[in-house]
Amino acid sequence: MRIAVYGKGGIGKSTVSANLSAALSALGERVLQIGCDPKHDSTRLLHHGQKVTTVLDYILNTPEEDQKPEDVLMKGYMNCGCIEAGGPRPGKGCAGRGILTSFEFLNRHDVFSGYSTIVYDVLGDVVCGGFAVPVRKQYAQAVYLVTSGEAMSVYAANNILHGIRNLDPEGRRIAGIIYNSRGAGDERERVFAFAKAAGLPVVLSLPRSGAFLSAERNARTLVETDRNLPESRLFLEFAEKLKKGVPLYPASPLSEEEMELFMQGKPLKSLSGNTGKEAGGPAEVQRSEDGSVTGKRRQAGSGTAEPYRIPQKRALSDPFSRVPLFGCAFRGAVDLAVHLKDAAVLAHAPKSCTWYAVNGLSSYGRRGLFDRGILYPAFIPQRFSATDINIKDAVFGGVEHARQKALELAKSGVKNIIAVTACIPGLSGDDLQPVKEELRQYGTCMYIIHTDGVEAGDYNEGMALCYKTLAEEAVKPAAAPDPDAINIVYEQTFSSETDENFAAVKEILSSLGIRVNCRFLCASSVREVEGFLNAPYSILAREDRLGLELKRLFEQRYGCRFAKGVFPEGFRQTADFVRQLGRLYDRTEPAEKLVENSRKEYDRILTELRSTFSGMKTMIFLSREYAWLEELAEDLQLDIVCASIPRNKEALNAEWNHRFSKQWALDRDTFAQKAAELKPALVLTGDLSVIPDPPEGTAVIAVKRSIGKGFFSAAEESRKWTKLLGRQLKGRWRNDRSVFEKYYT
Amino acid sequence: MTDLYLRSTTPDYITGAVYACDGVRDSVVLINGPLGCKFFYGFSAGKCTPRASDLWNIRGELGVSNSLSDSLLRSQYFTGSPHIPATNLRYEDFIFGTAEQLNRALQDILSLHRWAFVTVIQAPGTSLLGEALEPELEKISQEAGVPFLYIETPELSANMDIGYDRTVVSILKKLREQENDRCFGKESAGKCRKDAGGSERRPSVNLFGLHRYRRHTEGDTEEIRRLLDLCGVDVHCAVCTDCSVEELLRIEEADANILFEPECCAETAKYLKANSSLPLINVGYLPVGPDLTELFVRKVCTVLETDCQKALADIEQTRARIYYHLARWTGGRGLPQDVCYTAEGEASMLYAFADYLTGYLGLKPGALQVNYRECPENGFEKLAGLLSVNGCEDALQKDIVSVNNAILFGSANTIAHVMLCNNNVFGIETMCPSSGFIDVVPKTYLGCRGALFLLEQVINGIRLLKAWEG
Ligand code: SF4
Repeated sequence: MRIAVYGKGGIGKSTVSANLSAALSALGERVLQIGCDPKHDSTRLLHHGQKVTTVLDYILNTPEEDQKPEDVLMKGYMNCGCIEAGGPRPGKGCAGRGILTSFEFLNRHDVFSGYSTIVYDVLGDVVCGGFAVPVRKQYAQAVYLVTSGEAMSVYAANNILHGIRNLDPEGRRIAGIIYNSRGAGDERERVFAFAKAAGLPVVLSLPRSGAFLSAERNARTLVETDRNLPESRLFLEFAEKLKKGVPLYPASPLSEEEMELFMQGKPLKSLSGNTGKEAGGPAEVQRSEDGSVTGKRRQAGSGTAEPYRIPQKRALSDPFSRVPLFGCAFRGAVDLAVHLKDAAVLAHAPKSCTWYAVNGLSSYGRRGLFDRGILYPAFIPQRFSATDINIKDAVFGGVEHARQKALELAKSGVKNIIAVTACIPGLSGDDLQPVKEELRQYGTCMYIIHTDGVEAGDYNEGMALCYKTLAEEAVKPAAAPDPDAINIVYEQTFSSETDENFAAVKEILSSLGIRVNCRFLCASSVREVEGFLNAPYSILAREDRLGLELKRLFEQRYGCRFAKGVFPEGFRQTADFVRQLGRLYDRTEPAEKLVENSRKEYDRILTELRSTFSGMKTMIFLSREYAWLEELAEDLQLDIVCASIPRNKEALNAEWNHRFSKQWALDRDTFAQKAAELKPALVLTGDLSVIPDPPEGTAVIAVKRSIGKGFFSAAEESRKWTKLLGRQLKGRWRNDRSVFEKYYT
Repeated sequence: MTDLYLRSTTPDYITGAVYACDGVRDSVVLINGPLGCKFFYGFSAGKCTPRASDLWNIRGELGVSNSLSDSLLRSQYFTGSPHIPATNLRYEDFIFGTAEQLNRALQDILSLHRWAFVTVIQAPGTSLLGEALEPELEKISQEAGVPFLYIETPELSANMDIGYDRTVVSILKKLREQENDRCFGKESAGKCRKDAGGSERRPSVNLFGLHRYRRHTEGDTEEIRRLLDLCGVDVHCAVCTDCSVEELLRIEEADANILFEPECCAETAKYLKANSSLPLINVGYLPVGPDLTELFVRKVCTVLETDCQKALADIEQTRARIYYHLARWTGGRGLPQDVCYTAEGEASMLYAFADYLTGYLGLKPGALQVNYRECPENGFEKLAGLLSVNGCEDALQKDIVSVNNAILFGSANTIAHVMLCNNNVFGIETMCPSSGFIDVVPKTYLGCRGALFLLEQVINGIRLLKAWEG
């Protein structure tokens, strides 16, 4: 027999549980009582106040290979077993997870098997998954609710019923209510009325009695103190019944509105639409086929519980509102943090999350090495440390663990640490602020990026948090202003083109005598970030929602000034960009000269390219606008016979997202039909699948979302197209699809 | 330094668990967590998606059309790869519970295809919640008529081998519960050598521990299959490497269980000892090089009482070929002693490589980095013994990055890391993640073919190292 006694903290459930265990032991049962309250005083009356080693303390302090179940098992009255699950210190870790971990320990060591009756004493105030563990099928079979007539106690009892119904909507798990009187007013009526409303019997009524208190002073149960006392007899009689078996009832909690009416003493039928209680009330007790007793259900004629309905609690419960994203905020922040060369990244995370993140970012490093023979240091992080949170840290809080890792780094000479938190420290409520303070004495600065895994959101949000935290905390007042310097903000950090783009822009800047002060945050350093304000102007490398937010942050917080626009693509944009820099840095003449010289070179390239492209029949299918493409199409003198380009100025934050947006709805079929009719020589498209089977002689070319930067970038892009024009060789391999399917699908 | 680096760049328990499930063709493994946790399997793993052009990973049930199917990729659970879905949780689900979204995901996934087995693994974040998801899963499992394995508490910071090993056991247990009489039926053992017509048939074996994180799992399995075939032995089931649920249910119809490395097979071995009537051939290493391959072959043939002559002849030919190339290239002097090799891996794996590279080929070990020493059983002592016999025990004390002019055996991450430290190294990938090299021809480091392939890499590697040096 496995019984769980639930009730609000302080309602007397531990006294009830202990007396019940004592009574059952007195009747010859081999009883094990397990206290599931982090306060760990449930079994005190049974073991007479022995020093308690809770399961969780034990797991925390004993190496796994040395762990023995007898170290947490105390012997109490009549040899009954006493175990306290324990919990983390208040405000630290996750108590619910602690219960689960304790039960896993007890199961692993087969602690339950030597006992005929198990009594679980469980806190009912908290109804998270962990505290529901004892009600799970393999643990408690029957649940008793201990309540007085006090409002909070009845609320807690109703809450527990909700929890049990959620866990086991069809099952019968409730054995009844134990009324523990506090001697206040009409509480008896209230408890019985609640029991009736919930369709449950009151199986034991305990009077308010000083006898409990005096027994407790001696760390004894009443049953042990004197079996002949009327209160002890109540427990012994109750235990007798228990031994014979008890009927079980389904959990039928009152709804929130019903509960409100009930507490106000109003009849429940005033609730509109509540047919069950209007039609005869809930508490009519009847025998069911299996011999157990059940309360009559609310639906007239139905003997089973109402199906559990998922509450429409939030918009996110709509599956279509969940747009898949690149990963969690933890990963986004880590991916950005590794760009600071003079900082160590400390991932406060389990190995799993660290591995996902490091493997993700190192995939760029590996690809760079293989595809281009380039080693990108940021993606092969050399100063990456992780706390490797384990289950103990999750239960008790992992701050100490993080502290030790951070101190190790500080003592090894690391001056800057970027700490990023994953889901588990978020759930355990780990606060790294004190560690940050402590590190100051070693001259080490810690920047905490509290992503807490997904709490901060998706990958982009993690990046945003890292950008913003460093922008807010690392930037220092200008110590050495340099009028010829400029900052570059928000470059693409995961692109094989980042280096080339930077080199192209740097070349333009250098030819105007302008030095790059800080790349925020790309192949950068904390030192550079600290000196951000030394430069009079900044450029935003690319513009999307996050880029603009960052720009605003720098403008509003530090009064920074930004050049207009972003890294330029194509001739016109680059010329504007150069002229603007000329004005800002007082170099109008060199700027004009640069534009003029570049114009000549551009014209030369275009003349050459026009010999191929001029008058070429072209179709364009794009899901967004590309200014450089418009300019290029004109300069190449393409003959555009059909174009599908949305005039949508909203730049999309992540390319991924557009797959799920309405852009998909563009009429692809018509476009494909037109291509078959018009047989263009060239199709420029952002999505190659729009023409899966192009007509003979049509080259379908993917338009890149972003091309190189500078005066000649667009022209150079079209030079690549020339190699793709003309007859497309298909190869006979395509005919072998059926063979592939035969062997592999 | 490398220790720290490897700690973050070696796979975790959940990866091991996922790979164990993923080695069962007609099963699906669902990660109950945010997409952050799925992303790795969908994109970064490199091995897990048909995009990697790796036929080995194209599973019968989801063909190439699915890998390109927009509707599948647009599904919030499959995001980007038709493989290893996740429930796509948000932080709100951590607070309000994940059952609702888990239910949706499962309904969606079950409607896609008729799976023979479903595993639900809690992600690191959700494993902390202690939710009672079993009733929900049990219900869906019953409705769908598919066995479900629920891994509620993956060990947060344990390594992949432990995750793999334990999950293999869980899968076997679950299937055993499911079809008690078909699987592990003690009566079925012993009748095995007779086919339906009563005539004698070739003995067969189950293979354990060829997990999919190795660089050339397809070629490895093929080579073991080939060697056993030469011994007159069939492979009945490559457990959790490339098998079907049906094969797993019938593993007791084989004649022996072969287990390779203890790091990823220790729990499995215990489980099989207690629950299977088949003899256990606990090899303890991977058959790398002709000597260990010969030992392996003899061991199997002794237990199964088959003739190993054909296999031994094949090994002999391999020895001859190795001899020719080494003698010719080195003028009979042996490999140059100013070049060494460094390697990372499980102790048993390093043992097997060292036995061949050092013991057989005579190449010095510069530094050997032992991963996963925390596995309950590992081959560390054996490795240390081998090195000490060859007078090279100091290789265990050295950091890989401290050794210059070396052939480096490891993952592409480690190779990149060592290169970044400006070392002159020639990297040979032995495990994932890979650099992205696409293997059209299946390769292996095991058995005879593996011995030759390794020699080819080593000789050319040394030539390149020397050229760079000089
Ligand atoms: S979503 Fe949470 S549990 Fe998953 S990888 Fe990110 S931090 Fe880890």
